[in-house]
Amino acid sequence: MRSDSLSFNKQFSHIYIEEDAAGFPLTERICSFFPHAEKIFVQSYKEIFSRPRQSYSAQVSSRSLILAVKKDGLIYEGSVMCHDFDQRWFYYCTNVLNCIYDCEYCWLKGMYGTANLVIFVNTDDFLKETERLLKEHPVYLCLSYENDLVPLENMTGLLKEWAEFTVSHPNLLTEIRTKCADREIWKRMPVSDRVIPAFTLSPDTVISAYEHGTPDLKKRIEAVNTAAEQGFHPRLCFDPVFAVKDWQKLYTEMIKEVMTNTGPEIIRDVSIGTFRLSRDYMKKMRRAFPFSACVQYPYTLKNGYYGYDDELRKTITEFMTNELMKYISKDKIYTLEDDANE
Amino acid sequence: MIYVTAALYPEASALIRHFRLKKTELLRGRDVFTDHENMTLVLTGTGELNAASVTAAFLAKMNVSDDDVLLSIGSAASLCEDSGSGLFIINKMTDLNSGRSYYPDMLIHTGLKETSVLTGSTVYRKGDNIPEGYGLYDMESAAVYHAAKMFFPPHRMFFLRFVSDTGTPQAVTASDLERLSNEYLPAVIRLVEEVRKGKKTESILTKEDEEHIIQLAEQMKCTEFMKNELHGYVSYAVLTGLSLKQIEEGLSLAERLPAENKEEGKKILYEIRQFVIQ
Ligand code: SF4
Repeated sequence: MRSDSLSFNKQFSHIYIEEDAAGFPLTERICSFFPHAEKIFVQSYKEIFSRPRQSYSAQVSSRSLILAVKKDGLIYEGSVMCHDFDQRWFYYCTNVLNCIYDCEYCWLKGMYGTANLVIFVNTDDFLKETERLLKEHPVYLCLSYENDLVPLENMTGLLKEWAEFTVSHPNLLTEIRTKCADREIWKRMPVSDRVIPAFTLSPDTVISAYEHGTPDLKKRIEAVNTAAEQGFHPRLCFDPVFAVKDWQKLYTEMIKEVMTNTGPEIIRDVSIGTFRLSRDYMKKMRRAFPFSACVQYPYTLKNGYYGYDDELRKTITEFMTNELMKYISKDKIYTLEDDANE
Repeated sequence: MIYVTAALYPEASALIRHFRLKKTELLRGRDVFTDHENMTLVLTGTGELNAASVTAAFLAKMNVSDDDVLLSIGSAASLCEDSGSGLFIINKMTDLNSGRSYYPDMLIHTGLKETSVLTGSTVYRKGDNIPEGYGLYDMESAAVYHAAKMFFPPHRMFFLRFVSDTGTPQAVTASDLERLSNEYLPAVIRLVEEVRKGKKTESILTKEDEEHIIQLAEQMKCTEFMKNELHGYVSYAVLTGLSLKQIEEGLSLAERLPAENKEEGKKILYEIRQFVIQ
C-alpha cells in the first residue's frame, strides 16, 4: 500500500483513546496538540495496537497515536542484551510503546509489527511504582527503552516530569536514550548529574541507509553540546555498530568528528555494541522487510540471538574501543563484551 | 483486484454500471459482478449472517493476493446530527451482539467524513435502545469485517456508508438507494483510483534467479534448510548489488559443481556466505 503517489493522512491524524484514558491531563494535552485529529474511543489499546496482520511499511506514512492507561508492568528489569553501565538495579520503563523514527534494525518492529504509537497517560502510576522500588534500593532507570521520548517531548512533556522527579529522588539515576537533535528540550529540563542524556551516534552513511527519519550526525553532535552546555554529562552510544562497506574508515572518521566537536571532558561515558536481535523478532522482520539489507544480512544465530559472528563482533568492539581510547580513558568505555564477562 | 461487497443491488448499481461489471456465476445462489481484471463485486444480502457468510464464501473462492483490496459499500441509518447525511468512511465498527469492535487502518486521505458504525441484527428504528457514541447504524459492516479479516490486513479494507435514513427504514425505497449510490459514485470512484495507486508487491529475485537457485541447491546436494540459507544469501547479495552470476564466477562454481555430497555442499554454502558479506 506504500507508494509515493498515494496521498496519506497526516501523521497522527487519528488518535485512539482508551475509554479509561479519557480525562487524564496528558490525554488532554496531547489531544489539544492535535486539535484536528479524529478521536476514536476504544476499550483497550490492544484493539488497535495488537491487531493481527498489520503492516509497518503501510502504516509508517500515517501513524496513529493510541492513548491508554497502563495497568500493570509499569517498570521492568533491564535485559541482559542491553548495557547496564555497572548499575546493579537496572530497570526500564515503558511510558510509550514504539518510536517515531524508522530505523531498519529496530527490534520494536519485530516486537510490535505496527508503526502506531501508544502513550500511557497515567504518568503518576509510573512515578509511584518507581518510588516503591526506591524504598527497596537505588534505581537506574532507562526511560527511552521501547521508544525515543525526546522527539515526543513537546507533545507529552514526559521527560521534564521525569527529570523533576529524578532531581527530587536522590537514589534515582535516569537515562534518556535518543537520536533526536532538538536542542531546546535540554534547555527546558532541570539539570542533574543523575539525568543522563544518552545520544546514539552513527556515521552519516549508516544514518541515511538505516536510520530513516533521524537527524544527521552534525545535528546530533550539536544536541550533545547543547545538553553539555546546560550542565548535563552526556553519554555517547555507538550502538549498534554495523560492518558496512569501509566500516573502519567510516567509524574512525565519525569518532574523530564527534570527539573533536564535543570534547572528552564533557562526556560521561560511551557504550559500544553491535547489532543483535532475538530469533523471533528477526523472523518477523525478515518477512516484513524483504528489501532491507540490514535485516537480510546473513547473521549468525547464537543463544537465540542473531548477530555478527563472534570474530567480527570482537573485531568491531576492539576496533571501536581502540579508536575511542585515542580520546577518552578506557574506564569510560562500556562494551557488551564487558557485560557478558561479568 | 478490488473485491467489493454490498448488501443490495441498488446500493451497488452505480458502481456496477460505471466499472462495467458483468454478472457471473462465481458463487452459487449469489449475484457476483466482475470485469475479470480489476474489480469483482458480490451482493451479500442484508443482515449480519448473510454479510458474514457470503463474504467468507466469496473471498474463499477468490484467489486473494497481497495486493488486493476489500471495499465494502452500502447504506446506513444516521444516529446523530454529525452524521445526518452524506457519504462516510468508517473508522470503527462494533457488533452490537458481541460488543466486539473492528478498526480498519485510516491511512489514505480520502477527503470523506469519518464516523463509526454500530452493526446490529435487526432493523434500527428511531428510539431503539442502543449504545451511544456511534454515528451510523447498519446490519452488515462489522460482519463483513469479521469475515474479511481472514483475507485482508487492516490497511487493505475500506468501508463506505451513505446515509439512507434516520431510523425510518420503512420510508427508504430501492430507488432512494439507487439515487444515493449514484450521487456518491464520484467519491467512491476517487477512492478506488487512489487505492489502485498502491505499490504492488515486488520481489528481490527474478523468476530466473529463483529457478537458478533451485538448480544450484540440487547441485550442491542441499537439504531444505541449506536451500533456504542459500536463498537468503543470494537475496542479500542482490540487495547489496551483487548478482548470482558474480557469485558463481567469483567462486568458480561451474567448475566445482555438482558437489560430491552434502558435506561438500555445506562448504560451498559457507563460501557463498563469506563471499556475499565481504
Ligand atoms: S530511534 Fe531507537 S527506538 Fe526509535 S526506531 Fe530507531 S532504534 Fe528504534
